Formats: sequence, structure tokens, C-alpha cells
Amino acid sequence: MADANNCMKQFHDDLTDLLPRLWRFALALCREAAAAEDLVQESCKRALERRGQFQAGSRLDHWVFAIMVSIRRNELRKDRVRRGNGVEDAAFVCADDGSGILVSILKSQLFANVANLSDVQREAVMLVYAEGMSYGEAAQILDIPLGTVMSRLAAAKESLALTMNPPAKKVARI
Amino acid sequence: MSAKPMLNDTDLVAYVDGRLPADQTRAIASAAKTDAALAHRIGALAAGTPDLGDLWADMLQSAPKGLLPASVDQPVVSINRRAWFLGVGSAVFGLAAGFGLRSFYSAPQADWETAVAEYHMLYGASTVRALTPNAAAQAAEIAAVETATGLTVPALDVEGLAYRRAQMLDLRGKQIVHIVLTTAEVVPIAFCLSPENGPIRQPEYRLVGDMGLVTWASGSAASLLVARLPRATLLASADRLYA
Repeated sequence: MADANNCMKQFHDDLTDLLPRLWRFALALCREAAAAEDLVQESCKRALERRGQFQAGSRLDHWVFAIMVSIRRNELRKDRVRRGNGVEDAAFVCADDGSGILVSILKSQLFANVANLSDVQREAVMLVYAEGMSYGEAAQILDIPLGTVMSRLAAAKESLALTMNPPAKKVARI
Repeated sequence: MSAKPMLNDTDLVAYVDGRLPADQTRAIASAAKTDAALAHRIGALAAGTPDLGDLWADMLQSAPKGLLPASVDQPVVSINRRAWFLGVGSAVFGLAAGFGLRSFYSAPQADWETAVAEYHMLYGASTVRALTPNAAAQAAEIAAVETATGLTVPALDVEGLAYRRAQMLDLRGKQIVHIVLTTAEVVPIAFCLSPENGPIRQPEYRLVGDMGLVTWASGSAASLLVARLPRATLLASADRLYA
């Protein structure tokens, strides 16, 4: 019993340590604070419910990130069905609860650049560049082939390049 | 024989990210000197590779502090959201006797009564039903919390209420005696005491979420009764403990 309690406590502590990173990932995916909190909460809830499926010694962060990705995709799927249309990127929402740093982030051009990437590009960008994961680790979490991760990163870079370095407008010469 | 680099995005993204082995990096760099298309592609990818380190760091910093260990404060999340995170802890720990609210609650400006109320939101009949201490165990638990705080716990033999447990809580260093009682319908009630020198206060009722709170003070201790019960019922119970 004591061992079980220790394991549960360790799991909880590890999950608690992950919360800021889960928040960051969720904020990038949702692009809105309240939705990000809900996503973090739902992901943690799912992790706790499925704690028995977590293999001791494996990476808890990878496991919970994968859970979050799955929940987020399901949400998007449901949302698309509700709206009765195909892939429509949600509008970037810049509202938040008024805390200074969050407002500053949400209004920053860098965040807008990332937020304006497609959903699948943001997933890959966040895991590889924010989380510092290897391409292979990102592929595993996203449950997609490595080549798909790379092509999404390439597409994300193209998009970021266009956003940050828009082509100069042609000036008519007389 | 020198390796000819494969000119696909898989390699080029890794090249731009600096994640290729040195030999492949050299090979691509060399090839780019003579291959304009390759150089252009590398340039395009590199242009979309900004240094976002500050953004990532700021996003981490922006995490609602209710999500963080109590060592990092400045709460941002709402009561309901904090209560959910209390729930995460509860689901993991069970409600093991003696663990501190410190683990979950990090709102320095919130009063301790609110913290306890949020914690108590997690209690249900199933949480406490198995707690059936005999008289000796009850006396020992009460004696332990009295020794820990120097307070005297009033008589708990209130008609209609059953004793379940007494334990110590710790909210950022504040000692809280946490006694769990239940109604005949096994509705959990938290009766709390905390050392507090200050004016005497008569019982006052307020709500935190759907939790009713009655607070009062004796001059040397602050008391709190929390339950999801009707106002009149809770005030009546408080009156008997207050008297």
C-alpha cells in the first residue's frame, strides 16, 4: 500500500511539474487562454484516469503530450462537424484573463506568427522547437511518419518566412 | 567516395535546424555553393527559422500559477479552475491524512477559509464513508491536533453529526486543524481551527462556489465550518460548535 501511495505521489508530482509545459503547448494549439486551460485540465484528467496504462520508466511528458494531441484533434473534429464544413482554421483569439505577461504574449507578433500556422504545423513546431524534441519523438507523439513531421516543419518555415519577410510590393515604374 | 547529399526537405530542415551530423552538414553546405536551387531552398527555410526562445520562455512563464507548485505564486486562474487542479491532487492522493494544501493551492491573497472550502469541494460521501474511528482513535486524533497547535478543540458531540477524522493541514505555514464530520446523510462537513490572535468575531456566513462557509473567531483561534449544506443548517451547526 505504501508503495502504491508513493507511486501515486510520484505520478502526481511529475504531472505537476509538467503543467507549465502542457500549458505552453495547449496555448499554442488553442491560441486562447481559457480553451488552453480546459485542454490542460482535460489532458491531466485523462492521464489520471489512464494512469494504469502509463509504463513506468517511459517518458511521462511524451505520454501526456500525446494525450493532449489526441484530445485536441477530437475537439477540432467535433467542431468541424458542428460547423458542417471542412477544414476551417479557427480565428486567432487574443482575449485572455488580463494578466500582463499573457496579454503581452498573445499580442506579440511572434506569437501571432506561430498562431497563424495551421493546426498540424503548430503541433510539430511546438514539439520540436519549443519542447526541443527530436523529429522522431515528435513523430511518435503526433502518431505520424517522420517524413510528415519534416514536411510540416518545412511548410511551417515557409509560412513563417512569408509572414516575417513579406515580399516587397512591386512599385510601378514610370 | 564522398556522400552526395539528398536534396529533400527532411535533410534540409534538419540542416537549417543544425541537427544533422557534421559530415552531412558539410556535404550540404558544399553542395549549396554550386547548386543555386539548393541554396535558394536553404535560404527560404532559414528565413522561416526565427529565434523563438524568448517566446517559448514567456509562454512557460505565463502558465496560470494555479497550475504550478506552490513555490511559484501569483495566482491567475479562477476559483473553479483552481478547484479542478485541487481535484487532480485529490484523485491521485486519495485524501491521505495529513497532506498539506500547499501541494495544490497557491493563492497567497486568498484567505485560508477559501482555500479549505475549495479543498473541501472534493469531499463526497465516498471519501469519508470508510472513516469510522472508535472513541479511542478519535480522542487520539484530537489530542494530536491540540498538541500540534496548542488549541482546544470544542466538544464535537453535536446531535446529527458524526466524527470522521482530525488532521493537520498546512497552508503556507499556517496551521489548520481540519476535522471532518458528516451529517446523517453522510454529507461531509469540515470544521477547522487555526491559531489567530485578533478580535472576537461572531459567526458569519458566505459562499465559495457552492460551498457554504461559516467563520468566527474567539480571539485566539479562528474557526470555520464548511459544507455543501443549506445556509440555515450550516449556521445551526456552527452555533452549536460556537457555543
